[in-house]
Amino acid sequence: MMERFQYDNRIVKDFLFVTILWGVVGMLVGLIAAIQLVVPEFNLASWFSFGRLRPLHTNAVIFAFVGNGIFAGVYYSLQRLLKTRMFSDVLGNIHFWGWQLIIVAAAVTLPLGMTTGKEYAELEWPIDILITLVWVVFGINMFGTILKRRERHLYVAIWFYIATWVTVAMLHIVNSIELPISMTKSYSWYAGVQDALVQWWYGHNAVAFFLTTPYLGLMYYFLPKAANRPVYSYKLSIIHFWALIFLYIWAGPHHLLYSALPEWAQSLGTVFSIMLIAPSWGGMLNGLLTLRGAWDRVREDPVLKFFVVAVTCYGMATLEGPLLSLKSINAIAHYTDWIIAHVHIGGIGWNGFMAFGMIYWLVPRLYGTQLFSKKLANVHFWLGTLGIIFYAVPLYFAGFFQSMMWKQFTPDGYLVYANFLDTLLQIRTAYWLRVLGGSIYIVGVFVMVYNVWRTVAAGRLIANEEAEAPPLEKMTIATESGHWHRWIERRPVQMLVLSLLVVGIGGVLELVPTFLVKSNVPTISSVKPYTPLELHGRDIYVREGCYTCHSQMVRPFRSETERYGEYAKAGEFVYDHPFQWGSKRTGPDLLRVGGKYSHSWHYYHMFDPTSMSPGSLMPAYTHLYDAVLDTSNTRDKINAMITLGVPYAADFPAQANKDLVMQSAAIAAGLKKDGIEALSDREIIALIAYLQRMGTDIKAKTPVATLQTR
Amino acid sequence: MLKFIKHHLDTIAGVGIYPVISFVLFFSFFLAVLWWLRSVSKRHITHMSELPFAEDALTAGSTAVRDPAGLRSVMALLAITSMHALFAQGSAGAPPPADHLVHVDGSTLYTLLALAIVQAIFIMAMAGIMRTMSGPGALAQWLIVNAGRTGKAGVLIPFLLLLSLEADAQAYQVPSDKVDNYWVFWALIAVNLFLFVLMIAQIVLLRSMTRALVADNVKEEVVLVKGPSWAERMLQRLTRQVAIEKEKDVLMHHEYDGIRELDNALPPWWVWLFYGTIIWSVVYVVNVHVIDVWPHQAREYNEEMAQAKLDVAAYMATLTNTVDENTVALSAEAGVLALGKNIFSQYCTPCHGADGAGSETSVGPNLTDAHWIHGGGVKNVFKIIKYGVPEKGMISWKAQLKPAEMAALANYILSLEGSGSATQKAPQGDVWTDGAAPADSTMTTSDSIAITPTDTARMAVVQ
Repeated sequence: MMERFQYDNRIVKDFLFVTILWGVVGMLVGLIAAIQLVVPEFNLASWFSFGRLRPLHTNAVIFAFVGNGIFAGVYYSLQRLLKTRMFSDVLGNIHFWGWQLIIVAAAVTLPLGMTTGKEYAELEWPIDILITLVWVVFGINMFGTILKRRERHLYVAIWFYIATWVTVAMLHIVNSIELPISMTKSYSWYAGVQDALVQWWYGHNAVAFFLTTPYLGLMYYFLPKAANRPVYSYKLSIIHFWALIFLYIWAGPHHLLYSALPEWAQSLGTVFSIMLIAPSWGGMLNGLLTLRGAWDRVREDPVLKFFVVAVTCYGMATLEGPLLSLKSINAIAHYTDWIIAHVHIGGIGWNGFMAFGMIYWLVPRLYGTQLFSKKLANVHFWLGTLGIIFYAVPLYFAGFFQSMMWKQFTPDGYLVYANFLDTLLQIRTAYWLRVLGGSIYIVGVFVMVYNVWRTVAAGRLIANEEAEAPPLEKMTIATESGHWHRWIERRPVQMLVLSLLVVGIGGVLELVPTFLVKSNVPTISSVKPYTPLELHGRDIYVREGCYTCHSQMVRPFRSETERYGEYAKAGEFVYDHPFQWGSKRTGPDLLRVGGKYSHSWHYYHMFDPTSMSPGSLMPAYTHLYDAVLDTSNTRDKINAMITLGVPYAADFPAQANKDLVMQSAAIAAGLKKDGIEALSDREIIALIAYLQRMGTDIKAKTPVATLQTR
Repeated sequence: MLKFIKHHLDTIAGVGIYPVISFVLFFSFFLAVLWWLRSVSKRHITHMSELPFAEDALTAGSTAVRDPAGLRSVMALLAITSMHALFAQGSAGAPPPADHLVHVDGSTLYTLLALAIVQAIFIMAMAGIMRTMSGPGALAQWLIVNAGRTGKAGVLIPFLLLLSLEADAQAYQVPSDKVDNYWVFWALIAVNLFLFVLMIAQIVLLRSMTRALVADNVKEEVVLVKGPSWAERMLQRLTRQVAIEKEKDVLMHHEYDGIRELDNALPPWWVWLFYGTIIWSVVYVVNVHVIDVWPHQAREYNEEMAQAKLDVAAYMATLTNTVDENTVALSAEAGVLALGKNIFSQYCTPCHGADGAGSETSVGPNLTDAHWIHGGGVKNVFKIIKYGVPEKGMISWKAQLKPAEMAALANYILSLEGSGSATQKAPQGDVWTDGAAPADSTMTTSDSIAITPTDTARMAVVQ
């Protein structure tokens, strides 16, 4: 006896359209950022500078483009794999509008500098709460659908969806634990080394469970459907799924190699990343080998072309990533454009092309028509592929060569490229080529927009697709005998719980010892909390996104200690909420910049970087000279720090502003000696105070007792 | 980036080995291609070139057995010309590296040369024998007969190889006893390998010629069923793939929205890769954290610094001309001043102005007047450049400028005295006369960047 029902295509169409919209937006922001790196004058305003736009680009392409793509694919495939309509249309709409609201909020707050300063988690706490709520709505809708399914066993794609949902929830909640001091500003609960570990446990697994596992799920649905071929190996999908979700979590520390993170954690990051090669390749194999017998059609069908390149880029990136996790290779690649190239092979290769293939396959079906032009889809394919190559290959060269330049010594012991800027200017050609690559890629996306628009115009949305299937019957014990894994495939709740346990192990075993075992962060007695003025300056540093170009982590290499000073020690960062170690050196490391230059040097440099560094690519921060420092929240900041465990005296918040005024007056006086009439209440003074403080604590020779007078 | 390649790549010790490695790799690859060409059957090539991409079109088999239009000869030609290109690249004017992998002396080179000559003689003798065997005019006939059967390539290869021998003569250089013959050594190795392959090819061809001549009367049509080749068997062992034709045997019974799954086994190569990474991981962790064989990063760093110290000291011992703040002398030599001017315009102008005089808004003091804050004269100026005045914002340059460069810079600065324009920065410090005691160049009373002490009760730090 068949039950008749309808699949909801409207929600799929909604998510698909915004995927395309935000894809265009996010990539355009990326292009703007790329141009700003070669034409620094293109940093047109405070809200249009690289440091503010880079987080907008990453958030837009990850959460808006890839995110909506996930939802479009999940909503389409889940219904059909389970032979039921989504659990609730209303929840679907709340999910949709809630997610778009998050994106719009991001688009507004990030250029305004409302950021937490933690990569891929920049959105401030009100938006974090909204993300949690919307994610729960999504989970309810997804799980409700699973529970009312008419297909007893869960297909592999759905295992990936379940693991995605539960892991993202875990990552987001743990990493977003922050203490607000206003609607638009909060401080990370964690500090220094521990914050770094939590951040990259989150950050790497955002890659794993937002950019990888859901897209693997989509691959498992759309690729066999488009190719009309069976999936290559059921056994392989079982092994690689569980291995992947278990091993991935541990790999976070590979972002922190040769840093001040305890080495046992670094080693875990390295080895688990290497062990991850095979499980990731399991996904690639199942994808490519499913096309056995269909390679003829790959020649003709743009959808399959996109999928093939996507899965291949996935395979490449998941070999490159583990290799970059080897310390010897990481020593060369970290902080360079090599990492950017790697990221974009995965981002525009794997995620982008998977999304495009899915869009080209879905739109005609949703609108009951043919794709407007297969030829244009092929044009898009070739443009996109060309774009990927022009993006990544120049950056590989740039990254490798810049690293070699950083490490070069003359025989008598001098750095060959003593001026950091020299190494940057040498690779400018590669940066221009990257702009070219990104532009080509975007042109391909515009071609897709046109093609989709014409397809939609020629068709009619099948908002509710008729379907029928028999209801699920009670299962007797003897009914099913088969593979052992089938047991959990028909128990979604157990699968959810087990997935959570499996992904939780790595986090617990890495995070808990780092927090509880004191010896992981040895105390340095000369390290003191920031003064109120310095704290304000640090918040300006975070606001302007300085960490997107400058690192604060000198590694134990001769080339780095010669260039920057003593290498970083874990205990120096205990009061850094959040940590600002950075991931990229477009500019030099700043850990030991304190005391290296005079106040006036900084004053000139931030106003016009080329005045002190001719040829510099850094944006000018002229707005810091007009903006009056907001000291109304000094007391709140100090109180928040005290709550977070920073040892200020209990009565200090009340006099914090007095201290601040004295310190800023002193700096202004110093500037005056150099002929600069600076106003001591401006933001630039606070930033200078912070910069001059950085890295100086371990050089402090005076004993503790008198150090209270900073 | 190109400037980097041109000027600095060769300062990397032993960089010359990398092109050699790539040459050997490419050479081996083309050797392997030639070997495959010789061993693959014509049937297989025909079969491959007629394969449609879609498996279901296989049943509409092809009956024509085409000579793959000299496919193999084309490939052989390509392989050989590529090898020549590599030869040219390998033995052409690459500069000898500073460091050598193998130390070669004259006798080794003579041995290699002799070996090459012996092989060449053997090859030429073989060619003569083959000519004789086939009798007058029979060679041409043999060519025509065999062109159809084995494909033109099978015949062309030895001739092409013979021809190539002449071309390689250009690669020879007169060996000497000097160590510069690094490249000659490797070129000779490559040539020897090449000739060896040539010899083998000739021997094989000779054998087939012999067989053809001897077995002329005994013609049997023996149809050999060709089983899977070694490569195919190896591939099957590594992948355990079920052939597409037999797919239905492993097709699982369930379907999800039309999607079916096959029950192919886990590919063994993948399983072993997985195990291998796990084993490696255990080895890694044990080595670093249990038995301390591979160093922690702090130890790595200390070792790097210690080694660098030794290297620099060793290098410095070879130098006789160093200068420091006690030995630097005043000089008005044009070359010194030119070097100093160069350095000044590269590093000093942002803070001291393009003319060294600056303006009221300059970060650094006027260098063209007679007033010096930290003492004038070449020794003091050298000292300031070298150590800087950190608390005033004058950075130390000793990590970026060599002593000779700092000396030149100091001399240049002193040569600027009196050259300041009307808008120059106001004088600071005292007038310097030679012979006066140098002013205290490090500590000043009112530091412009010192953060002044505030109320001591302000911040009691709770330890």
